[in-house]
Amino acid sequence: MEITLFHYLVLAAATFCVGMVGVLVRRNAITLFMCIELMLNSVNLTFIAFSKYRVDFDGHIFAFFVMAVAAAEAAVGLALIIHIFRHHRSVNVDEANELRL
Amino acid sequence: MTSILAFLTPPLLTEYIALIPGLIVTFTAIAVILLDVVHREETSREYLAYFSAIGLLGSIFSCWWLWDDSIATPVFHGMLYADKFGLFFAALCSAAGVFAVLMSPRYLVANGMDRGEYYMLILFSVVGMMFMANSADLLSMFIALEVMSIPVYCIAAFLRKQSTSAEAGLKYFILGAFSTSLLLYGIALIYGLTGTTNLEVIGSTYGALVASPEILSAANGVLVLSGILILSGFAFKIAAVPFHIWTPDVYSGSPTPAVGFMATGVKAAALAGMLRLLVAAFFNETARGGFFGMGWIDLLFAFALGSIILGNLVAIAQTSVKRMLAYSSIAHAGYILVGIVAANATNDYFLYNDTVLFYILAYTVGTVGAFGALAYLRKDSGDVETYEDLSGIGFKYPGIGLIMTVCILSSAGIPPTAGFLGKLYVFRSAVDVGASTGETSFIVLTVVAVLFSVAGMFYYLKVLVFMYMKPAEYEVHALENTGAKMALSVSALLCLYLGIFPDSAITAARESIVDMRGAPAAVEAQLEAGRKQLADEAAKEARGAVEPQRIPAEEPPAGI
Repeated sequence: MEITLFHYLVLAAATFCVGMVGVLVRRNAITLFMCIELMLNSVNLTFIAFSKYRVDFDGHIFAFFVMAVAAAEAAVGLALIIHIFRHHRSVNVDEANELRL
Repeated sequence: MTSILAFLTPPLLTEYIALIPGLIVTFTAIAVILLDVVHREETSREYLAYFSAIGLLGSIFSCWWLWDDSIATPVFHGMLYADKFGLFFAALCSAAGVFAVLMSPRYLVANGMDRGEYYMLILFSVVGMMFMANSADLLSMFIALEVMSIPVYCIAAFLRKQSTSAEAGLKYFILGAFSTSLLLYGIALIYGLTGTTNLEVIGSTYGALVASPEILSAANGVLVLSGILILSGFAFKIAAVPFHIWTPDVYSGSPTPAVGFMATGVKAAALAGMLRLLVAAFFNETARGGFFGMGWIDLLFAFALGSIILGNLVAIAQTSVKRMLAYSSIAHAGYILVGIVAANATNDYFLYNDTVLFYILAYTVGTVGAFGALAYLRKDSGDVETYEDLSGIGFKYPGIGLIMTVCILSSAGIPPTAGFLGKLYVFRSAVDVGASTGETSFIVLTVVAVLFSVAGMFYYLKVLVFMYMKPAEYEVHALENTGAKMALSVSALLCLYLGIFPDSAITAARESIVDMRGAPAAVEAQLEAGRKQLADEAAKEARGAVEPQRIPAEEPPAGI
């Protein structure tokens, strides 16, 4: 079977949905963070697939910038998770509920 | 695909003027980090606030200086625009930054977090906001969005010793990163459909795509999905219903002076970016929809309606002033969206976007003042948050009471303040569009907005009731600070000035809209009419300045 653009897009969409559902249902801050990274990576996959299909470099460049920004976000995000762990001795976001919803 | 060689040619020297306001702030931020390195630990860092404020004021000055130097085509290989629209928002976001840094020093000391990084984070966030309003490409818009957002996540968690601040930072980060992913996936889909990330090229390709029925029927689902994803990403940043959940928590946990900055700067920049994107890339009839043809106009219509109703109703039930202001900022996002929907629903009213710009300006000065006045007061046990904490403040500290009163009245929309005129202009443009197109949904939207802004009076006036009609029972004292006093006075004076003499601000807003690059050909006639009107007004003003001198010169002979 030949792997076509369609297959890449479906894979990316499926991974994106897994990440999105993960953010909505999981409660561990690290898992939430991993789910967001999963979403960003499926975005990268979409970009690269379209870029390859269209023989255009813009998508590749965009994917590089997404990776760079994801790295910057990871630095801030992990620092915030350590920060919340120091206060609550846990990374469960349900325990960080002093600000009522 | 653009030739690789085109990207190897360096940009023209004149193109660098698009960077000047941003570069001034960037260098100020770098200087702040370096100054903080050589700082002696035991002394106050108040001078860093003044230093940052000077840098930001320099950038506002450069916006004024460059006002007439806009460049017709996007600069830096189609990445940025250099036009008055960008300069307007650059000045606005710098102003929000000036207020935030000046109001912060004593607040940070009182919370035991007198650190130089705070000012650096605000400055870098302002840089992101400026480029967001200038971006001509989805790539630069995305990077600017992140440069704006990542420092703000850190600022939200800046009060390290309080677990509420940590919680606010984490919530803002998780939901912000989530919304960025949604936005990015929308961008990826748009890139796949059009083969470009340049806003104007997307605009023309989009027109070609929807012009052919077979492509439209095949790609319509993906087009709609990408539009919804991108708008969701922006709606998170401007805190519009249904993407508002984070707002009250983040605003009540973050350092108060910075909340004023988050509520105004981030919202203004996100609105500017959204307006750029919608006008340059998605101004096509099919994408716009309008009047329930299901496009982004209809989506924003729903966001506006939801934000106005939910923001005002939930704000009434709040006991914390910070949370009340958070919900009221959701309601304000709704009012701004009313203006955007009215101005862009049809081709004929594009110039009404200037009311949106004026509203954002009025909202900014009122909101930074209100949060700044809250940050100026302090209880022994912590921040001033509830209505009870404000009891008797109006007589105990008359100056702060007066400033709070003016800013709250401006937010509520009571004349003669800027907020009143902002609401008047936005609602009038919506009624105007509704009346002349015969579309009742606009009239209904305006009536709902007016009714709910009247309901909003309840929670705004409650602040005044507590300040002036309750005895002072709580131990609240003011954090005396000259810079904060100056910033607060200026914000209150601006609320009054823009409410009484709105002409210069209106003209600036109108010029920004008329000069907005990347606007579609369909609105060229409106832009031309706007240019002509501005030229006429300028000519009339010039004549008006000459006439008084000429008349006395002629009269004496007649009198003799």
